[in-house]
Amino acid sequence: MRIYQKILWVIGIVVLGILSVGTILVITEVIPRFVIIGVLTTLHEEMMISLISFIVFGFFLGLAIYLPFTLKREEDGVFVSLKNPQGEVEISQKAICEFIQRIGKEIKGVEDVKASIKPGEEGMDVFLSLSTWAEGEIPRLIDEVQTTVKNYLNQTIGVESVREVKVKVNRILYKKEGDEKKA
Amino acid sequence: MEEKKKNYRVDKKVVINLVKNSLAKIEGIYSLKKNLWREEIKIKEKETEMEIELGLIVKEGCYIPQIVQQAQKDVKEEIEKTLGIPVTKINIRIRGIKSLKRTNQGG
Repeated sequence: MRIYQKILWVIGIVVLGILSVGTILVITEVIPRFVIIGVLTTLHEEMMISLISFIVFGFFLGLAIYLPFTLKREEDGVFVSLKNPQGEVEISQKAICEFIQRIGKEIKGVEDVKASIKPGEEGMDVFLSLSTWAEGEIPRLIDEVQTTVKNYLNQTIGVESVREVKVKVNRILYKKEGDEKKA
Repeated sequence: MEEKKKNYRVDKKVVINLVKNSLAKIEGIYSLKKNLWREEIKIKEKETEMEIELGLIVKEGCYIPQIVQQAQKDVKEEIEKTLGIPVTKINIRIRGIKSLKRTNQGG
């Protein structure tokens, strides 16, 4: 989701919240009815205020129609295309990321992986954030993770060019003495 | 709901069943992606031909481009052989990669 879409979502949610709170306050008579009647009368009589209200609430209506489509577009839009003569072939980015996370976790020394990908013309960029166990050398582990992910993307998914696998180590976990003895 | 071709009609359900049968025979395919109400199969009817769109979940450990190509070939052959309707395009979206290890552990 893009930043402007996130801002629109925040606006939509805040407006919904304000309207809900306002309605509850009117129903419970915390806001007296004559205030509402007064506001509505002003809206009706003052041409300028009426016009501004029309534009503002028109915008909210547009927002209510537009926001559900942003979810739909996000779900449909994130696909990686593969070359195929018999028709279009696409793989969802979600499927690829889940796959990378799964194979990453199978590597010894890796506790957790979060993955995201960015397909481009020169090849696919993969971003990984790792939680690792403090055993062995981390640079070697990262190297193994990068090679494994690259190989799997190539051999399973058919991504011909993986440009870069960027790894960020987020956490290093330490095993307790009791755990080591058990192991 | 029904497909027209010259002097006979074929119900979409028939096409869907043919697609499902073809896919069931392919080793690397786990299932069709299920949406809220139904599976992800879209049949686009044209005058004398058809296009098909499929959402698939494949098994881990297989080479996806090969499975996809196999699926396209098998579905096309099955429909053309059985119904005599040319299939011009089979568009496939891979919606998931199923880990069989996890399935086996779970079951």
